[in-house]
Amino acid sequence: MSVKTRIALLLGFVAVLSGCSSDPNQSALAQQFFNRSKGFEPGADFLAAQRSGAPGYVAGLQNGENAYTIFLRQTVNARGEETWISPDRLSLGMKDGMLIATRGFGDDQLAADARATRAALTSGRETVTERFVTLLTEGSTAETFAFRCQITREKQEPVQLSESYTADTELFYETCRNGQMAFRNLFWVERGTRTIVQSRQWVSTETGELALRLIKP
Amino acid sequence: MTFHKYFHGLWVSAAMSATPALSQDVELKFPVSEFGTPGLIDMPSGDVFEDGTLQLSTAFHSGTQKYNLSFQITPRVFGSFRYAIVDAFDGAGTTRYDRSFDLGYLFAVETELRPSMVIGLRDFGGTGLYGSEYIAATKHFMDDRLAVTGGIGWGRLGSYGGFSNPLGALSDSFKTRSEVQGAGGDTGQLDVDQWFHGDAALFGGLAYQINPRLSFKLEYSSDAYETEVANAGFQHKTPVNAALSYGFDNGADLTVYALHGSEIGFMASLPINPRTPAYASGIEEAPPALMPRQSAAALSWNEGSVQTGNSPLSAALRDQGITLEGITVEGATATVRIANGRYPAEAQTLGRTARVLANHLPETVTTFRVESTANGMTTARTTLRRDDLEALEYDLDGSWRSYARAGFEDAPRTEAATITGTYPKFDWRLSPYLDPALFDPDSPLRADLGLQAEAAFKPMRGLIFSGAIRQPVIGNLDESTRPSNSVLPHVRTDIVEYAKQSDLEIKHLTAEYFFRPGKNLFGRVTAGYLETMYGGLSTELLWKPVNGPLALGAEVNYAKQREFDQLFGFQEYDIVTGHASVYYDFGRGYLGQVDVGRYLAGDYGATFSLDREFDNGFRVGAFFTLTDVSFDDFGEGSFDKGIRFTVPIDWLSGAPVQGGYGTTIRPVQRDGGARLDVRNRLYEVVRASQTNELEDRWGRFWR
Repeated sequence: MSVKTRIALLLGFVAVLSGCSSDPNQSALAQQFFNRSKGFEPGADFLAAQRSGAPGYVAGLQNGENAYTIFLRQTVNARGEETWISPDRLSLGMKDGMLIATRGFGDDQLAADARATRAALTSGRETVTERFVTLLTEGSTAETFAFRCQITREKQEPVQLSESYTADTELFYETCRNGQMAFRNLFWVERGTRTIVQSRQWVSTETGELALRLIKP
Repeated sequence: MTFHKYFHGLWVSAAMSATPALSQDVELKFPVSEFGTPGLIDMPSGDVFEDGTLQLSTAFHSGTQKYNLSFQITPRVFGSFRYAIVDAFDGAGTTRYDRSFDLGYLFAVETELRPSMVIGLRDFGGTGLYGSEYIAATKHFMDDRLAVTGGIGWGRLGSYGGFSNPLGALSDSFKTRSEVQGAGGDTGQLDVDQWFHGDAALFGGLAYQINPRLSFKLEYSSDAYETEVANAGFQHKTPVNAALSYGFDNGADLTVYALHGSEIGFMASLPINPRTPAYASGIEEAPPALMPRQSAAALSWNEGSVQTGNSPLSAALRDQGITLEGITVEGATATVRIANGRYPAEAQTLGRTARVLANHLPETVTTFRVESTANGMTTARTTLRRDDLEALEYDLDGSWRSYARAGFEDAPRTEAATITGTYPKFDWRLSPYLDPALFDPDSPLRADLGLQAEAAFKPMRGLIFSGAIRQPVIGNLDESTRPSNSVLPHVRTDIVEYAKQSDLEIKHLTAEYFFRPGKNLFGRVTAGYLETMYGGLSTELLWKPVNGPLALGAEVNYAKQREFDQLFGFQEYDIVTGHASVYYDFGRGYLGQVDVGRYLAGDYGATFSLDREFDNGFRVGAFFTLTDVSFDDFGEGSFDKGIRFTVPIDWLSGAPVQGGYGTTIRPVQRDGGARLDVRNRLYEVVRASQTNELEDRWGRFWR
């Protein structure tokens, strides 16, 4: 057998056999590698949430081109912490419109405490708040960072949430620093209800910011 | 990125993306010499790499190629392995293939007034081609843009502008150095009696960072290139060398340099930070959310239904890559036995298992005891409370608080009733393989590439019949022309014959039984074709407490040498080998191991190993073996030694896949100090699910 024939045979076999295993995890990984553009089938949990008419977000990652998806609220626990899930099996932890966790983004935020910022947004005050973020480090340990955040009210702005509903909002900046990291979150807070109808919230240095907009029926 | 385009036609308002994120500062440095160590061009510096950095580099100038691999072992100690190809070093028409090791120690950290200072050995265990020692000091100025280095060298680094060794004031023996540079000496031995001996010379230079991309280096070299001048026509016109480097965002750089006024060379280096995987938290799907507690009636739950492999609980765990092998529910406590088939971090397996249990067991069950297994053995039992899960799911310090509240204990006997239909199991896999032989004495790279088929049949817990066959498709492992010249039994040096005389080969074909003889004890018996060169019987006993850093092991093997065709036949040679082993986890990722016993050639001795394992599983280690075989009888290299790496698949891909790519690099493979390469030695099988490793990666519990 000539060398060229062997190379061609090998490449052919590699392509075929990379997906050959009794372990569905291995096979799925190989299929994912060879067919990255293929979409995911929504999980059963997502379909159940969809059937129940759960509230949703349109979401976009600022670092990724065409990186859009939707999240539906799956459950709320006793402390008001919500889990939102996407059809491609990512999840968000949210509390009162504030991002408090991500899962499946590659560089996730394990947890966050943004209660002080939320209070400022509710009251509409320009103030300085403290925010805490726990990241999953590259060494698989959790590390919590504290930030000093400046809350500023930028302008009043309409945000169209559907063809029939435009929210009258105030845009707030939350500019956070801690000496090592810095980021800026944007919140569009509906006047009156003080609901965050649209936001751009930092996840982690690598993942960047996640843009969220409430879906109004 | 796992964020997939799903909802076509959606848009995010320009306002949401118009405001840029606040920028981060970027710091670039170019500290690598052509020897792959911290330095200027040929000269070393008083710097070290960032702790844990793995630095790959290569340098070329006329007739010389260097391939370097350096590792910052601790914040103060670095080591390097080098493979050099030098034309005409031993005279016209010859080529020297040289392997050498360096070691450096930072004995003074830079302060406002004091430079950082390194004492180093270059080529201390090879052929002495670059044999030298040095003390170098480097001080940084102008916000680190300018680094000024000065130093004193011995050996080759004392060969230009040399003067009488100042250490001669301590003893006259320092004034002379017995070996002629590059003549060879006793290859592989530590020539301690030559270190810092003979004439010394001063060297120095500077590195200046012109802008974030470009840096310039200038050095005064104390290397006379005596042998190259004498044998290879090298012209040493000036002691001054200069270089210009271009740096990339990832820390890599390309350098062009002028050497001694006669040569132009090129260098490239790439730093790898083992701490930095492709994705810090992986790209696997999100874990199941904790759902509100439900009654048994609401869950349609009864104790009998959960004892089958097709229960909703089993299915939900299977969806997470976890096999439920056993379950017992007594009052408020559920004990389950699981097998993790997906996650490299056992903590992640525990976290997902706990959430699935909480979602599928009735609210009256409040305590979950999860038995981890490895090859069928129960290795540890972790106790988690439902209340804690619910309280800490999105808690700011939920990871460590959940670790603090968890209980860990040994599980010598399972307390979970086996689920019907768990066994037998059958697994198989077809995959390509790469079998490299790096840096052998005649060629820097030999390798075979081919196809491998593996299968495993598990009729009961702990008993595994498995095999792997390989078909090489392309490669050059069989092209080596070095016949074994070993005076010892040819237990490893006939490796070329194995490559030449085999085609379709049985890599292994074994029956293994893993069992728990008692508390903190683990056992293994393996019989069959144990590895590519030996078959026989291997037995092992390991003592390893679930919460302790120390482990002790004993292994006894009967090994018979296999035929070169690697099929079913055996040769005449056989031997009883065995080792007593001590393992110690020093913390901070440093793992030590000493194995004392009898090796394949019948020699008695000990192997000393030190590995640094990062929390994400990336591992770099080194070892050496000393036995009662004399250095002369051992042959080239004098004694067995090498370095080894393991790169986890999930480090490379971010996908939740166990295992990794590993290789061992030896300067030369000889017959002394050679150990049986039996699969699934217990220490590595067991430790992943025990407390030390769980703690290291507990951040993944909520991932």
